[in-house]
Amino acid sequence: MAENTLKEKCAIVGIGETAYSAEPKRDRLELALEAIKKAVADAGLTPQDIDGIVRYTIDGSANDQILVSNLGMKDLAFSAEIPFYGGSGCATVGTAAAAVAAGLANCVVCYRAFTPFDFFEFTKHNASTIWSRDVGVADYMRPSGWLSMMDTYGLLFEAHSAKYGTTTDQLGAIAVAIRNCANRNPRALLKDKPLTLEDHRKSRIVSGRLTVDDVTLSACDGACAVVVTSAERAKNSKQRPAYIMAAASGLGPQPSLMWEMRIFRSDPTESPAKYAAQRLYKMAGITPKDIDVAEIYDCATVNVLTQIEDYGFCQKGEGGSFVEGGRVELGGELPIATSGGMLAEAPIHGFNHILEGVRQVRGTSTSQVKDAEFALVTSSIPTPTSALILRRK
Amino acid sequence: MMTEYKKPLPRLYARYAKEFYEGCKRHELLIQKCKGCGKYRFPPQLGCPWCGSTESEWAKASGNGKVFSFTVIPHFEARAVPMASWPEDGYPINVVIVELPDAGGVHIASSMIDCKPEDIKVGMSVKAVFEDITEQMSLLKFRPA
Repeated sequence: MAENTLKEKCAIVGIGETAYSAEPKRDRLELALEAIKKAVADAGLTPQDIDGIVRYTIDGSANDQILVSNLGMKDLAFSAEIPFYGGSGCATVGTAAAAVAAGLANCVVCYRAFTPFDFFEFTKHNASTIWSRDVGVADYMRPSGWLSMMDTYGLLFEAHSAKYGTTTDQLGAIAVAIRNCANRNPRALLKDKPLTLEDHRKSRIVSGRLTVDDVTLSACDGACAVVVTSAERAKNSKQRPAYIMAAASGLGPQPSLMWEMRIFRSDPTESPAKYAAQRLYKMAGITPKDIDVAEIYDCATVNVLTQIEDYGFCQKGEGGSFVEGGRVELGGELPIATSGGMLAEAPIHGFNHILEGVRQVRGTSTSQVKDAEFALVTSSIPTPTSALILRRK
Repeated sequence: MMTEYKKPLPRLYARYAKEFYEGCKRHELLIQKCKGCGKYRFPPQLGCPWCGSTESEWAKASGNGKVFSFTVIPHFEARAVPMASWPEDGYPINVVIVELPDAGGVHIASSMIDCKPEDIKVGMSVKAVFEDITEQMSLLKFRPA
């Protein structure tokens, strides 16, 4: 009986991005079109070859028909939007691959265009926001002074620290490693701003014990896109294909309590990543030890640490000691967020992580891991989450 | 006549938020309990996340709790994606997650009063109190027990 799996049926054959700018305020549609056109060109294709679009949630850039029209596409055979908040990125690629593998479309574009300056306008009528209203963010969290995701991260760190003894210096090791990668990346917003552990100790607090260097960049707009096609078609592609070895999503335990409400779970130190990870490694048929580089979604250092545990690189609770001693620096056992991530490259909600995973497989990263074969890419926690394993063949 | 309340008020968007805050107005901490399996849940919702039953009742919790986690927001932080608004004189904000052992150990979010930020500790015992913030609305808060 043939195995029903997505493993290596598809590949990412094109990547594209706009410049990342901290200055407002570029046009949303233009950002999306630019990134998509660059990805399509990188794939050696034209917009007429594209027949599918998978969109990332809370996106005001355009809807599918507007994109089809403005790109000069012929038709749209497949269309989807992933409503996982920051957890959507890898799932867009997984969904595109599923469509291609099932024969619904040939070449699918996945993209994320982000403009924070009008972000709230697009949260109002969005599937993700309907959850926020129904679960009571405005009723049970805001009135007590819980104002933003930063406070969720602060609460998660205190819970992790109380249970496992995790320290702020351990968070600092993550922040420093990721900043070092950004300092090597000419596209990164913080390319010219080095960070040492000493600097991290003196950084301004945003919430709890988390500093401004522990949480994502915010003032930036930009867009990223990838093109997904079949492994068969990828054989003739312009660039080295990044084969999609595995894709997975998960909500995690107590699924009614997610994202900001996750802190209401009995043990919020365990994330949805653990559930996605089980599916991911099973599909890939490899173990965490095989992973050469991990583009881990870094909206906050505490979330990187939690994912290192939940993707199986160490025991639960030992994320703090894992990241010490240079283990997550380039040259270490598990380099992470090698383009600088959300903390220091750009806050494109994990889509820049997908592009960097592809670069590592191609051998074109500005912080290249030698002979990288298996790249893990993750999307955010504590939202519903998703992940990919990309492979060089 | 109370002075104008400038912090975010509960919006009563969520199902059962109205009943929860009616309880707060009476200075009662009401936690939803499933009639199918007896488990408590917070926030309240229609279906039980464990057994799926849509039959539930309100149980009065004692208000005794333990701090499960906390975060102190020291000052306003400008972000490009804006945070909810909070008056400048309302900082620092002591946000706490309290575990309620006599309501199935559910976690609830609130703020800590009568306590310096540096004195908040995970595991400390706290007691629910209710602050009448407007004529229609009372908010659940916690103070050291």
